[in-house]
Amino acid sequence: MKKVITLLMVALMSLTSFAITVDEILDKMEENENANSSKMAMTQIVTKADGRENISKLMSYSIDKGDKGLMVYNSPARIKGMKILTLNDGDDIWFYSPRTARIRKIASGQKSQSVNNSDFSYEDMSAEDRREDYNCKLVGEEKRDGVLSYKIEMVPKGTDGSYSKIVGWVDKEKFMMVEAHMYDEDDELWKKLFVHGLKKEGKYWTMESIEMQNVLKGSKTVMKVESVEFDLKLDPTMFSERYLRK
Amino acid sequence: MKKYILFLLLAISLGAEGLDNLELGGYLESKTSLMFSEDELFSDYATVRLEGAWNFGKRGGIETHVLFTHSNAPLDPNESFKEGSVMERIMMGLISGPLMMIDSMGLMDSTLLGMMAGVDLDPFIRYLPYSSFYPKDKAVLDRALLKLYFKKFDLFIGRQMIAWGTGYGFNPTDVWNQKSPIDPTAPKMGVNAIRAEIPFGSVSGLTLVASPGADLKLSSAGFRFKGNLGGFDFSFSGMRVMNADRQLLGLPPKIIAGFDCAGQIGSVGVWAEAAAINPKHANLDYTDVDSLYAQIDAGLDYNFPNGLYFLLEYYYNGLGRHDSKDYSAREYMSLFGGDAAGFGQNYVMVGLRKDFLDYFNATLFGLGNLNDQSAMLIPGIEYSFHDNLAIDIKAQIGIGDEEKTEYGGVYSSGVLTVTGFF
Repeated sequence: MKKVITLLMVALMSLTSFAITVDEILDKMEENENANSSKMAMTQIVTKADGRENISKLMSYSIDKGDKGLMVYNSPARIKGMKILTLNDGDDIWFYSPRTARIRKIASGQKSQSVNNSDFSYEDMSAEDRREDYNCKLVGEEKRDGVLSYKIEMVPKGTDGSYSKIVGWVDKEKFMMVEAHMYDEDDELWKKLFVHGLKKEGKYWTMESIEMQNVLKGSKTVMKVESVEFDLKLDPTMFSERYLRK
Repeated sequence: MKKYILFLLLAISLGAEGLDNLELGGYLESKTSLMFSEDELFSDYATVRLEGAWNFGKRGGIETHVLFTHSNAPLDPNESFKEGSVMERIMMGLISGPLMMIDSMGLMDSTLLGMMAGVDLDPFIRYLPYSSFYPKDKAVLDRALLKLYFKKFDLFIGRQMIAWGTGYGFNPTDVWNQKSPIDPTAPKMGVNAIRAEIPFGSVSGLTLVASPGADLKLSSAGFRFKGNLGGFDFSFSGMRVMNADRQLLGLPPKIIAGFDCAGQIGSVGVWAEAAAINPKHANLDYTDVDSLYAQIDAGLDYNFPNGLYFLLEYYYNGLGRHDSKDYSAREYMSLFGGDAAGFGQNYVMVGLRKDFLDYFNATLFGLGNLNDQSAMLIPGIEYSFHDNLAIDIKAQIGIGDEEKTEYGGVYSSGVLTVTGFF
């Protein structure tokens, strides 16, 4: 989930007439996100349009400031042992299914696919450095859920991504993303992202949960952070195919 | 056998010092199929898979999977083919020899043969598998392995699942499994082997496998070097394959050099897999192929913005026949023994998948034999009834000349599968 925020925050580049520039906002946000490593226990709650819920438990690990990531699903039984490895800031993604013992590389064309039937896609999960991929500008200041925020708009430079435009709101005091809207290729609002319960954990800001709403389908996914640890010593061999097969 | 398996599971349970290290799970699957032959026969299976694993932390672990299957009227694969079909012609050819031998050796009394000829045995034989006289329960130890993790490598000893290659419907380099392009996602069964995984980097390393058989001659071994270059995963492999099954089927030992890769071009996922196979001539009659041949698989897949998944795959089978008139016992044995995925030389697979109404996904796969112009259509719908419960309905529809082609002579069928995970 950190990657979704990184995705949004890292991409903002252009200058506006505001007292602060997009780059400065980004720099400050990166300072908040620079944990060398992290370990999160999470609960994923997918609520479909008809109200039916699917609940999954997973562990999320990252090292090298998010350059390498690993997600391991522990429940439900149907997907237990499913693992997703991301390397190179999410440019390369491998999916491991314990039922077939196969490791499959996810092509960029498949990154728009839903992860475990949720409203998050592989693309949402990857921590790509969007400074290179998006044209960004600071378009205003607005209150979101009572929080005064910078409003930032970013438009992809290429055609690889799933979104035609992303609009994000960054808390002016905490320099953390609090909300984002993603638009589809027809420039129609597709998804809304909300960050709930921002709080400081040691040096770093974290959240109680992150919510992705699919406006078109009427579904939503909440990733609830059960526990989080930063800057802990993680075995680098975890982030390898070797570990996926274990 | 059952007692032995239960003992193994119990041993794992009791051996666990802490329950935190113990993981139990599995699934129950009920499968009912109806074949649209003249008799319209049902068959149904109930399978329970019990999975147990105990981890020794970072040092290794134990893993055991047991499959219990109860089958009511297991479909005889030979019943799936229409009268006069290619497959029936080949099978009749295969059994006519032994029947003539029985006759010539006087192993069966001619009076008895005469009586049998005058009686319709079909009602007795056909319904035998439905009766309680027929053995219905089977227990299989699918996995039983020790996992030992060392600093520089991991060692897996025992019955284990090994999956090589990058192809979807066809895996010419995966000599450890028999795969049917008609059911590519079917679970792979365990292999008795010792496997070493030696990593060189995050996504590169060397795999060594030795699968012992009755003796050295009937044993298999292989290596696979895997790397990553320019965003592509690739691997080179080499195998020597022989086992008791091949010996019984009259299939020769074979030496294989393999290559596979997977990556993307633009937004399109691509993969390829190739094997150069050099069978060792062993004077094994009609199955002996005394020349080098190749099997190649190449495919691509793409996700359209509307969520439609598309797959296209091509398979070249150097062991196959260009003309359906040449289909013979050799092709049957190659198919049965896992040396080839079909009778012909050129195949294409096309697949579509789309999620809809949140809990459903619809699939349509087509497998075509380009040489004899026949195809198998496989439409299906899966319904996620619950996080851990899925209902799947599939059909298999054979298209093509009933007497001259590979898939045209197959009866169409429908299968209902319900799977619950625990």
